[in-house]
Order: sequence, then C-alpha cells, then structure tokens
Amino acid sequence: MSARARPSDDLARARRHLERRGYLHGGLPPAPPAAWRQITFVLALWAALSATLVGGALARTGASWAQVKVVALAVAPPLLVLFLTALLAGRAVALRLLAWGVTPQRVAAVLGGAAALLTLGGSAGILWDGLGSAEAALRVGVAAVGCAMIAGVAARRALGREFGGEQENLRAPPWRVEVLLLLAITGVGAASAVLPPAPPPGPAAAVPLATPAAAGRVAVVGVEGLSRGGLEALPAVFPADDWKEIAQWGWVEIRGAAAALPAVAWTSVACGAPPAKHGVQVMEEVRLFGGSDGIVLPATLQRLVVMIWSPLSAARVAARPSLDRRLPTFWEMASRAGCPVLVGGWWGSWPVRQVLGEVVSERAWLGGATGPDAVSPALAGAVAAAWQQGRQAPAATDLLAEELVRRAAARQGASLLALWLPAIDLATRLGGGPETLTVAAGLKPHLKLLRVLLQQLADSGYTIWLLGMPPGGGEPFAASRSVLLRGGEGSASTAELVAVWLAQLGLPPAAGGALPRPELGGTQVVAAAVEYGAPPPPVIRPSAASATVQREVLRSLGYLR
Amino acid sequence: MRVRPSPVSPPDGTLAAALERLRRLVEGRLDQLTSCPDPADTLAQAQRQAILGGGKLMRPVFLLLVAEALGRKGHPPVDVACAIEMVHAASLVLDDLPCMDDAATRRGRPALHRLWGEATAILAAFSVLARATEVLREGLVAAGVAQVHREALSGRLAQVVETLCRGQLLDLALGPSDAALERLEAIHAQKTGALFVLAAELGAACAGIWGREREALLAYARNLGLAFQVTDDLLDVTAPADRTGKPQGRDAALGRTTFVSVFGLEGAQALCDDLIAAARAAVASLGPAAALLSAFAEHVRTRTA
Repeated sequence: MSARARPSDDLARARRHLERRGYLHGGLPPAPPAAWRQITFVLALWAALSATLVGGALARTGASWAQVKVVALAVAPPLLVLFLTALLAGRAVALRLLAWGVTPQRVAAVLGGAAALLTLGGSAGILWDGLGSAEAALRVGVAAVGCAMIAGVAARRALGREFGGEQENLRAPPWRVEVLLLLAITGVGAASAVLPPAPPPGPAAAVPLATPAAAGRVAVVGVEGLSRGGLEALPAVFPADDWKEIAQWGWVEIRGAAAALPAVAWTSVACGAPPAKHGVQVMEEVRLFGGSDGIVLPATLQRLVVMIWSPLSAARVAARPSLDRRLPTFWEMASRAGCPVLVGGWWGSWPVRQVLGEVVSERAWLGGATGPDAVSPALAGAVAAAWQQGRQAPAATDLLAEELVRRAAARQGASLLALWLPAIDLATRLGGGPETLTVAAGLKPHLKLLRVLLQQLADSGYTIWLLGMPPGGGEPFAASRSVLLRGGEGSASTAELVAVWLAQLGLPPAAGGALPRPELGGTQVVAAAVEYGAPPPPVIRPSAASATVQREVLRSLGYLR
Repeated sequence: MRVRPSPVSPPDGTLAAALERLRRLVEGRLDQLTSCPDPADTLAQAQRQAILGGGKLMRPVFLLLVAEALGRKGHPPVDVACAIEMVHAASLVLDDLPCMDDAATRRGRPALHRLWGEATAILAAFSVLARATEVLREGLVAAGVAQVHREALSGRLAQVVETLCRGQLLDLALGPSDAALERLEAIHAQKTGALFVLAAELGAACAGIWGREREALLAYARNLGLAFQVTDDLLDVTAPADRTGKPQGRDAALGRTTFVSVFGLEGAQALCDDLIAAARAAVASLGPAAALLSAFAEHVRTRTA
C-alpha cells in the first residue's frame, strides 16, 4: 500500500468537481407546478380562448361593451366544459395509444397535431358564421391559429409531464413561449372585443327628402314558395283563374337574393343589397340574464350557451327584430320621398318604423300581434279581425292581404304597396308535400285569391311586380308586365329592381345604388340620385316577450328549427 | 453543497437478509439461464463460466432491492436483474483480455481467456451481451412493463454498453502518472456508475415508478455507483485477498491510478462518505423506500469484500 496524502484543498477541489458533475447532491427534483399554478394556467388559457371567441364573434356586430361583458360571462362556462372535456379526452386517448404500444413521441405528435387542428377548426368554425369581411376573417384566422398553437403546446406539455422522464423531446417548451402565445391570443381577443368595427349609422329622421313628387302606383307582391316553373304551370292546372296573362309577363331571375333564411332573402330584396351590407343575417338572438338587448352569436356558440344556461332560465332564444338593419327598404325610401306606403308582412318590417303610411310587420302578419311594434295603429283592428276565432296563418294572411289591397286600391294618387304572401308556402309545407293531391287542393283558394288581388291592383292602376321565392332554395324571380325581357333572358340584381320600383313611382334612385334599367320598366330619363339615408327609427322597440313569442310562431310555421 | 446522511435506516439484519435472499434468487436464475448439458459446447461453457464467476452480484441485487423498496408487487424481476449481471460479466471478460488489463485472475479464478483462449473469451463476451438483450426484453415483459417503456429501456441497455466501452477506452489511456480527478471520475462514471444507474432505472421501471421519484433514484444511483468504486479502491488497499478475491495492494503494485492513489486513504474515505451521504439524502424523501435504500448505501460504504 502506498497511499499518498493530499492537501485538503485537493479534496475540496475534488468535491467541487464532483458537484459540477452532478454528484454530492440529489433528492427529489423541484416539484411540478403547484396545483394552483396549473389551475391558473388552465384558467388563463380558457380565458384567452373565451376572449378570442367572444371578441371575434361580437366584433362584426358593433356590440357595446356591456354586451361583450354579458356574452363573455355566458360563454365562459360552456367553453370551460369544452376545454376540460378536451383535456380529459386527450389524456384518455394518450393512455390508450400508449397501451397499444405507440411510442410517446408519436402520441405527442398525433395528439398535439389533433389538438391544434381541432382547435383551429373549432374556433374558426364558431367564429366564421356570418363573418363577411376580410378583416374579420383575418382576425379570426390569427386567433384560431394562436388557439391551435396553444392547444398543441398544452397537449405536449401534459404528455411530457406524465410520460416524459427520459423522453427529452416530450418536455414542454420554455414557459416564455407559452406566455407569449397566451398574451398574443388574449390581445387579439381583447382587441376584437374592445375595438369593434364602426357602428351602423343612426336612424334617419323621418323627414321628407327634397325629391320630385311621387306620381306612380307600384305594388310589389312577394310570394313565398312560388317558383318560375310553378307559375308557368298555373294556367294549365287552374285554367279558370286566368293565369295565362301573368305567366306571359316578362321576367328575370333575381341576383343576390338567394338565402336559406327567408328573412335574409326578402330583406335583401327590400334593401337592394346583400346581407353583408344591410346587416340582417339571422332570425334569432339570445337574451341573457334577463337583459333587454338580444345578442347574436354564431350558431355553434349559441347552442352551447343555451345548452348551459337555459336550464337555469338565464338564457332564452328569441326572434330577432331587424333593429340592426343598416339600409332602408324600398318602402322606406319611398316614404322619405313623400310617397304613401302600405306594407304587409314583408320580412324586415318588424319593428314598425316611422313611415308615411301603414305597416303590418311580419310579427303581426304571422303571429297576430297587435302591439305598436308589430302593426300601425290604423291596421291593428284588421289584424285582430283576421286572427280571430283561432284562424291559422295561411287564412289570416290571405285576409290581411285582401284588406291591404282593398285599402291600396282605395288610395288616390301615388302609392306603394309591399306585400309578402306566405300562404302557398305554408299550405305546401304544412300540408305534407307538393306532390299530394290534398296539397294541390289546399293551394287552390290561396292561388285564386292571389289572382283576384293582382287583378284588383291592376284595375286600380298599380304596376304590379310578382316576386317568387322557390321552395328549397332555387333562384327567385321577378315578373311584371313592364319587363321587356321574355322567357327568362336575363337577370336583375336586387339593387336594379329597387331602382326600377322607385323610378316607376317617379322617384330618383338611391345614391351609390343601381340605375333603373329600361328593359325592366325603368324610365329613359333618370333623375339625379339622392341619399335616402338610414332606416327611420322604430316606433317602439319590441319587448322581450314579443320577441320570444315571435320565435315560437316562426318555429311552429317551420321558418326556424 | 454537502448533504448529511439520513438518520433513517432499518436494522442491519433486515437488509442483510434481504440481500442474501435476492442474491440467491439471481444466482439460481443465472444458473438456469446458463445451464448447458453438453460439455462439448465450448461457447456455452465459456458463457456459463463468465457469468457464474463467483461475483458478489451487487448490481442485480441492487436492481431487485430498488424494485422491492419502491413497492413492486408480485414476483421479483429476476430476469431483468440477470441481464444487468450478464452485461457486467461480459465487460469483465473483455477488461481482462491481454490487450486491455491483461488480468490473469478474476474473482480468485483464472481469467476466462486463460481458460479458453482469447478468441473464445471474446466470442463468449459478445454472445453474453447478446443474450443479455434477449433476457432483458423477456424479463421486462414478464415484469409487466408497458411496451413503450420496454422499448426505451432496451435502448438504454444499448447505450450503457457503448458507455462501458468508452469508459474502458478512457481507462486504458489513463497512465500511472495521470492523476487528474476529472479522468478518474469520467472513467468510473462510464463503467461502474453507468451500470448502477441502469440498474436503478430498470428497478424503478419494474416498480412502475416514473417522474420525480425516478429522478431522485437516479441521483441516488449515480452517487452510489461512484462510491462503490471508491470503496473498491479502498478495499484493494485494506482488505485481505481472501475477501476480495484478488491480491491486496494489486492496484498500487500495477501502478494504477485510483481514488486512493490520488487522495490518499483518508481523502478517498472522506469522498466515499460524502457520496454515500448524498445518495442517502437523495432518497430520504421517498417514504418507505428510503430506509432500505439508505441502509443499502451504508452497506456499500462499510462493505469489506
């Protein structure tokens, strides 16, 4: 044995070296983040997702900050449920895959990617409904990608924590990455919510415009459920009703009016603009926590919110009045120009607005409501009479149409009548299908009445426009004796039709809109365009109860599911 | 940072009984695994002699002890432990070759290459390594370790074999005057230490232990492995040949660099104490496992053979 003694500083140096090499210390490594930190992280992630989705969903509506808060509160629980469900499901799937022998790296790749894709698709899907502008789409896209990245990181982090150990590549990325992503998402969401697009213009004062005096008489009759083919078949099916002449009118397809929801389609016709411009894109809204303002949410989000809150009576779905309509309808333009109007049932006319004339909105037309939001006082009695004794919608609307045509015919001078007739559509759908003989028999009285009304209007000097909206989403059409195009040779945009109707009333076209085409019946000499402004203010805002009842009416008639 | 030993330790009798029980288990299983009825099967006979060379079976026993201490239920993972011993045995055969340490004896018996020739010894070592891989794979299955972890652990075995080779290469390059602690630590971390750490990993896996507890256990094994080597160096100086199976003072006689030659007896003992204390502290917070593992560390420190 020849052990050499070494100075103590050699030993100290040796200890320092061993410490540097990972010896002489050990024990349990730092504990994973405390439960409260993990919960905080999950809550922060969930809050970021909520802010993004709520912000994106409300940004396009110009919602007030108060609405944003309400929606955020309402959306939070369902999103939390979704979020936690996804976490638990992801963990279960990971365990199953590992049990099947899939390597942790592959599990992480699969689940991380799946989480990212699902979040991307889900958030984009939720936000995409109804988003029309590229700006909104960009915002949603950024938010969705951010959400997807967070989801992927979260999945890998969870896997790494549970199965990592020696799997270096499963460990979570530096916390700064997650924090930056979280901040980015929250920022996008908050910016979307706090900085909504410019709000729609306020309602125009109900003062006449300085335009040439209206001189014409025009009746625009919209028939739900009437296709061009159906109209052409009428002379053969009902020869006694003399449809031959009407079937031979000139006609055009209407561009830009096809939509799944009748309110959206007919409002597009009335405003001469697509939904992205006139603003009516849905027929339902959610009323949360007893609030007086209805809120429009994307369909998926709305379903989630209602599912969570309706058992607590904190959320209810109601029909959405067209308070957010940004453009005036053709009867509102005519009214501002001093032309008396009569409106019956046309979608977008609820709540009744301040116009020169009388309005029976779709709320009264389909539901028999007689409140000031639903019908002009002068016609409230007629509505009550039409709906008395348990009469149903097809018959009641026919009666109301008769009354309005009678009043229109009785008018002297310039006049505009806008009628929307659902009887054929309702009789067809509620009767079991167009192929049955029962339905054919059921249609007969409505068609007969329609023919009579058209004749009365013609006899009263009205230029008649018959508009048909085919069942099942076909191309709508517009027919009139004034149309020079025969056999469906052309088409017309909704803006061109509105311009023609105004021209036939002797009124100038709307500034920025289309000019009246002569082949549609417009005049050769066109007056200078005028700014018809925003829609006039409503007589009164519909109550929550009225909106809720109207939704049930629309559901019972099959206009909502 | 220096850590003090944990005061918790079971009675010596408990540990000694456990070690003896586990050693017999391993020995019996190794005997089965290497049984060779055909005396003319040179390779099999050489394998058997390499594996059943009368060693202390410290590594496989350590593996089983870890699994048991960490609460493994059911039959001990003896095959997994045997795989560790087979790797160790193969490394010793290669270490003893003339081109390396040129040892004439191993554990008081002629070295394998002296009995069978160098070629047979080399082939026996390689075949034992291959056999270890197979035994490990089957042992992990029998122990109920999930496939995902089995793949990872098989990969770790391959890594450790490569690490052993690197350690041996460093060892061969370490001259008598080269007293750098860094080299000494690097060699033994890659030889003794690597196998102790792998044994701990396998034992933890067989007990279903992952995460923080596993990290603590690896720190324990790392310190313990180096401490084991330091005690080996100390025993070379202090223990008689009949206990260690090799002549007393052989390292010094061959001019080898050891912890004793670098730091002296007291210094090496102090380092060993530090390492054992660190090992015991590493597992102090592991609950019921701490007492047994801590006692095993103390056993390594005070061993006499």
